[in-house]
Amino acid sequence: MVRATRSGSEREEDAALIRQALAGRQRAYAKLVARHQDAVYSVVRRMVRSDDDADDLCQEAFVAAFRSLDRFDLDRPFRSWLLRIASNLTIDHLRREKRWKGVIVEDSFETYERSSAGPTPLEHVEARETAKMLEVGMASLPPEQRMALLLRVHQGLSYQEISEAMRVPVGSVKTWLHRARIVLREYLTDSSKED
Amino acid sequence: VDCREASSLLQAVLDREIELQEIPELREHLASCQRCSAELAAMRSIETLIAGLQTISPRTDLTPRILAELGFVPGLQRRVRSLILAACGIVGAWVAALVLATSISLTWLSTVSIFPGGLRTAARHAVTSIGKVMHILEVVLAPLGRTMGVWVGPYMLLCLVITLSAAILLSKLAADRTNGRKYGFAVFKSIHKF
Repeated sequence: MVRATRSGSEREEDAALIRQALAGRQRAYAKLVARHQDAVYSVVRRMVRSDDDADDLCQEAFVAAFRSLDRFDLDRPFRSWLLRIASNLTIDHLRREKRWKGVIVEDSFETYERSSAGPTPLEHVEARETAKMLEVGMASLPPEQRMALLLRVHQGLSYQEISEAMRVPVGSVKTWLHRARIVLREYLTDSSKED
Repeated sequence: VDCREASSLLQAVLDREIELQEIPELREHLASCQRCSAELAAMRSIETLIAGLQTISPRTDLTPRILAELGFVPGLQRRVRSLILAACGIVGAWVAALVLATSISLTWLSTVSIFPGGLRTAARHAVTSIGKVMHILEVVLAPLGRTMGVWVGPYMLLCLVITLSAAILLSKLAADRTNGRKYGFAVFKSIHKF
């Protein structure tokens, strides 16, 4: 799991790399990409239909971030800023593709199964089943609710940061999070009853 | 605190915007209301599940394609490019120095009246007949050899200085992308203005 709320030393390391990147050191930006690409990809991949779309959006986010790196406030966490850029691009992509109301299920399983591994076979199966249910439940959420939930719970962004990322008022973020939690709770309760 | 108020406060608690300990009224309500305390427990378990979702990594490292999109080149490629540019600089500098020195020599030759009537007359004679051309060549080549004998020291020094400067400048420009682009653009602008 990757969180935007990171330790001070990690933030300082990011700031040092950003300064070097701004001074023209390509290797410094390569390090920044390597440090943050998984976090960005994790959010974007759970929002879009295919690996290729997620790759393209991540690339676009890092390129856009580099081009406005001189405007980045070094006192703020780089990852949150990056996630804001990636979220904006993802939302624009979903709107462009007219999949804003779409539901994506199968790909989320595949991506989860590819990256999950339990310590024992039984725990692995249980963890995979639970995660599968959660991924299906999350995929059934409207994209704006799913995005808000991922940014808040999985990446640790604040209400304010999510509202800036999604270009909506803080009130909307709170409403989406509330609705998303209720839908997920109902979904998971129903699923466990069926089992 | 009633159930409706508790519901909105629970969300803030879940998002760690406020601590449960900070709101004694909510704690009292949760202690007396089974429905709301069950709601909080269910929501917390969902939070734990979401927080525990695996990080998904891209199928392949995205760094090379991002750097390529930004126009960055790998270290080795950059060094090769730098060497090629430096080599081009050296060749260019030699050609420039040769042209410059030849022009100086010819100008000097014309001033010391090796061509009777100056270069223009010589050239006019050259186009009138091959014989005249042969004559000019004969006239030019002999003193040029003598002249180069005199000028060869400063000429070689000039070539060396120009070559080294060009090589250093071009290597620097090739190695430093940001400033290289800036300086290159400034040079281009001044040439364009000129």
